[in-house]
Amino acid sequence: MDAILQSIISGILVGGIYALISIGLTLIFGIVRIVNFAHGEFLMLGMYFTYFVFTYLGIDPYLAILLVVPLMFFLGAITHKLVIKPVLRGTSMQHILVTVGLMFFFQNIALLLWTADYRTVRTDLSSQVLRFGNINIGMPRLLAFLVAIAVTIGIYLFLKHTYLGKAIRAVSMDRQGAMLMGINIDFIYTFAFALGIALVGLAAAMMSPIYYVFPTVGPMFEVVAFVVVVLGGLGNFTGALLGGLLIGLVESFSGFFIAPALKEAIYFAIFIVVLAIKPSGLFGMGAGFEEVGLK
Amino acid sequence: MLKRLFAIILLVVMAAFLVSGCGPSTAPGGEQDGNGEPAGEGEEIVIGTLYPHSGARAMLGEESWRGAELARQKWNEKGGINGKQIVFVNADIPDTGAATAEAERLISKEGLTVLVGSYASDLATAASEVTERYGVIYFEMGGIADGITERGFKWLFRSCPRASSFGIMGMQAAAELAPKALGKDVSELKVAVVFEDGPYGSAVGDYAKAEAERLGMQVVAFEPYSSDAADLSSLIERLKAAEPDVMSITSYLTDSILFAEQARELNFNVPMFIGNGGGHSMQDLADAIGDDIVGMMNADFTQFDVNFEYTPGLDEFLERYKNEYGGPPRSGHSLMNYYGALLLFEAIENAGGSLEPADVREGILALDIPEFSTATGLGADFNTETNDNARAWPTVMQWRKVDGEYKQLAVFPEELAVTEAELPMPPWGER
Amino acid sequence: MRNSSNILTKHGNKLIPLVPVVILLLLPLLIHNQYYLHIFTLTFLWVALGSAWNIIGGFGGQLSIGHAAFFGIGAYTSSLLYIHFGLSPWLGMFAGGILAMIAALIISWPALRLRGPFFTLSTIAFAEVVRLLANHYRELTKGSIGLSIPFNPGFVNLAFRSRESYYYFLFAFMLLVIICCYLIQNSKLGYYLAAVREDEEAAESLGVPSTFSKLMAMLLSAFITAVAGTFYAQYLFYIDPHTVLPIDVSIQMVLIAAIGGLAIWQGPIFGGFIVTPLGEFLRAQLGGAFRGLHFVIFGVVLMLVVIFIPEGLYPWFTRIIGKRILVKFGAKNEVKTEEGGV
Repeated sequence: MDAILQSIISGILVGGIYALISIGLTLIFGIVRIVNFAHGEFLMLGMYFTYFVFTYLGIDPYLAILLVVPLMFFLGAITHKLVIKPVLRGTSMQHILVTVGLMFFFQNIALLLWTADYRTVRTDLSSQVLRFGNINIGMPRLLAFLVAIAVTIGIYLFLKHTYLGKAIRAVSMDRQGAMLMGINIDFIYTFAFALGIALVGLAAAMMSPIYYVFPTVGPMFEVVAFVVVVLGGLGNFTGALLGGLLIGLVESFSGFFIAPALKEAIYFAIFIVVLAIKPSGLFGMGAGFEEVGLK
Repeated sequence: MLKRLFAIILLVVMAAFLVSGCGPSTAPGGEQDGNGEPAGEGEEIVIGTLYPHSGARAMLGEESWRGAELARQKWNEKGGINGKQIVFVNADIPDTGAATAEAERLISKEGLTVLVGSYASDLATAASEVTERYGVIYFEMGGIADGITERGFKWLFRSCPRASSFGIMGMQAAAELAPKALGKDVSELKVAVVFEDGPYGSAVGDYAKAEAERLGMQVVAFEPYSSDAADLSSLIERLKAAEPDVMSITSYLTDSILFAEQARELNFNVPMFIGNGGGHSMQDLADAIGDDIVGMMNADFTQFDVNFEYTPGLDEFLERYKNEYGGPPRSGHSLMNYYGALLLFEAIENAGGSLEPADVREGILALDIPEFSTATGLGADFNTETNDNARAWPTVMQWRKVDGEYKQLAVFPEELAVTEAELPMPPWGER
Repeated sequence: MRNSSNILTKHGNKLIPLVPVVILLLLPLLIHNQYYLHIFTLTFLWVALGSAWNIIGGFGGQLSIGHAAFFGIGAYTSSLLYIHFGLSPWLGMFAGGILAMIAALIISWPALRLRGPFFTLSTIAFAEVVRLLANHYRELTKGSIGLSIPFNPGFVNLAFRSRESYYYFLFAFMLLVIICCYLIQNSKLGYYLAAVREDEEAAESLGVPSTFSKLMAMLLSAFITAVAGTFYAQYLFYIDPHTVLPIDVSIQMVLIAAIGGLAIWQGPIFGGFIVTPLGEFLRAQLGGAFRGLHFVIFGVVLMLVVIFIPEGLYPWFTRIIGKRILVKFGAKNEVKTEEGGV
């Protein structure tokens, strides 16, 4: 019984991490209409930034957020200007290829600059565990989970109640219409892309005390983030949160009951089945997504 | 306009690459890459090295290469092989495709007849397919999968211990040490075998299981897992349910850290914990989990806190490493490759400095070095069915805190042991 | 002068493709360096793979990043049949091809109803499932320890001591695949695919069987990819999930077609002859000293091509460079038709 309860909790906690990574992806996916194959690499860069801030400036990784997030925002804006914007009008083939190029580039520039050494960010908090009888909750994971929820709420409020947020929603629902209303589409795209990257930077900072940094850390989380985003419904933030938790649970249970080595295979299979049956995702998409490629 | 300009630049860059790529073929005797030293025509002993210097396995590939490089420097300082200096041509093999291609290149383009490598078993397997077909010597110093040498190859030799010997050594240490410490009979010992499902973990895991069964222990869990997994909690829950006395685990670095941290989080304790090299050998694990590493055991290539009396030359290696790379070795891979390369140089010297594969083969087979007389404590005798080194085995060590530093002290076999094993391992947080 | 230019205009277009074929046929007589032959052999393999991918990815406009699954299925099927039953890989490759077609059928059911990124993601997930299963079911595949294929040279076993044999067999295979692609492009299926690619709704309303066309393209593509997998296994004599099933294999196929030019049969040829030797060369030159730099360069090249020459290098090349050459020969008409075609 304890094992099952613990599996649920572990699943939810790792699901929180998946959700945290996926929120930025779903934002970019939803608004800029780009599948960012380099998303995991931005995560990796964010983790490196956190590591450097932690090691050279001695700043706690959770405080480092204040530096890392703006830095990632800036990086996102530049990337959008140089790489994404030129192909925005192109085919989805171009979108995918250009981000695959970006993936190669970032992964290997990290290898070139920082070598393949594994780096870890560990503070006293990293090893703290809340224990309730036989149930254990790791502190950094709990924090990441809470931040995922907070970010979801924050994004929701931002989109609902600020002028900029409303403009972003307008663009995601009806590009032409928004343009006619005098919204600067170009700015909205840049901002949304940069915000998505900033969010993955936040995820990176929250994950640094749990994982380790190395140039190929991205792919570990990249594909699962895609699965979460699609399951949750494109551009649907609550969907991303729920999708993340769901995948976490699936992973945890299939690992416990079937085989740890097959848990990825199982959620990929679920992913394909969901795509076949309900391609709009389990929780519905944001408005205006027909043009992304769904009937 | 801009578009066209970029396109033209692109084309020129590509053309430049292609042209320069074809260059060396038309101009034989050009510069070697790697060391940037010119190719020798009988002036030098030129040997090719195949290690992953890029990609996910770059770090330990590099560490392995450093060992071979230090051996080269040492041998050259004392006059080289029959007065000829040894030169390496270094190739980068991040994946098996590259291993094949680079072995091809070193043999047919650089004209080499002796190659060494490679740290990883799959890379060694792929590269040796090429060398064997050319009838060129391939001397493996770090890939441990048994399968590498089980193909009946004539020109392939391996100096390092095999995966089977890891699994076996760990279980033998368990059979020797656990009954007394835990107050249980060998047949009462419950064993969990856990391993990453790549070539390295799979090989060790299979043999650990077989040996545990041979020794009469009960294997209560046999769990492969993926080393890319972002979460191992379900694996740990399964292990908790199995309640093992002894656990053999084979992991790379990232998953070894993840496993330790999540086992601590979920409060999974096991009285005897035996890693099998990889992550459990690395200082990085100690840095990540701190005091909780104390008490973990590890079967691996010989490390640095062993009985120096039985490992002559180890102190010299450590000094060389420090002088060259400005710190202590990051793992035992460098030492194992250092030892392996020295064996090869000796074999070539015995063969009269000839690089003819047949002569080198003869030289390697003629090696007869007793155990406990090299820097690793291993001996050398390649007269086995598989061209493996019959006198190579791993050492079992235990992590301890000595003067505020985490070190692996040898505990098994007895000759190399510097201390007695402390068992059972205390629960998390009390180490 | 006038005469010669006339001959060129009349027959030039038909004869030009034969020139590289003849050169490549004679090459092993001139180059004895095994390493260069190896690179050519690999290039042929990758051109064939890029072309196979191009059938569904280019002609059909469905960006699959899951073709490694077919490649791996082909490699594993023929190898396992050979190892356990001594079945000649020549027959094994058909078994692998058919199995890959069945796999393609399974994934096509959900995937072909999806478009754009959704199709891509489902193919990625599919290939990952195949890889993970191959890794896990070790009784069958030996897992990540990999399969070593016994080396018994001979035509029947598709195993040779000399590099030249592989060179010619893969060259022939590549030519066959290219001819296949050429025929498909100019067949009814090719036109259907082009219509579907441009505008699926419009095509359907005109009576083009869009799903059927895409399915056919997918099956053909899977079959050829699997056969290439057999050749690869017989060339390396060692396969493991890490070598034949990773996402990198799928991406490489896409790269070759995309850099060369999508949806035209010449594209992957061009792409393959640039990407494969460039990759080998960059790694050989830069690998030791600047680890990772070759992939950095790859990434930059890919981004530049996608951003500035989205139609691919081949169409661009024929347009910019080819125009000048042809103009010199007074073949203005040819240029015009070429451009129209692109």
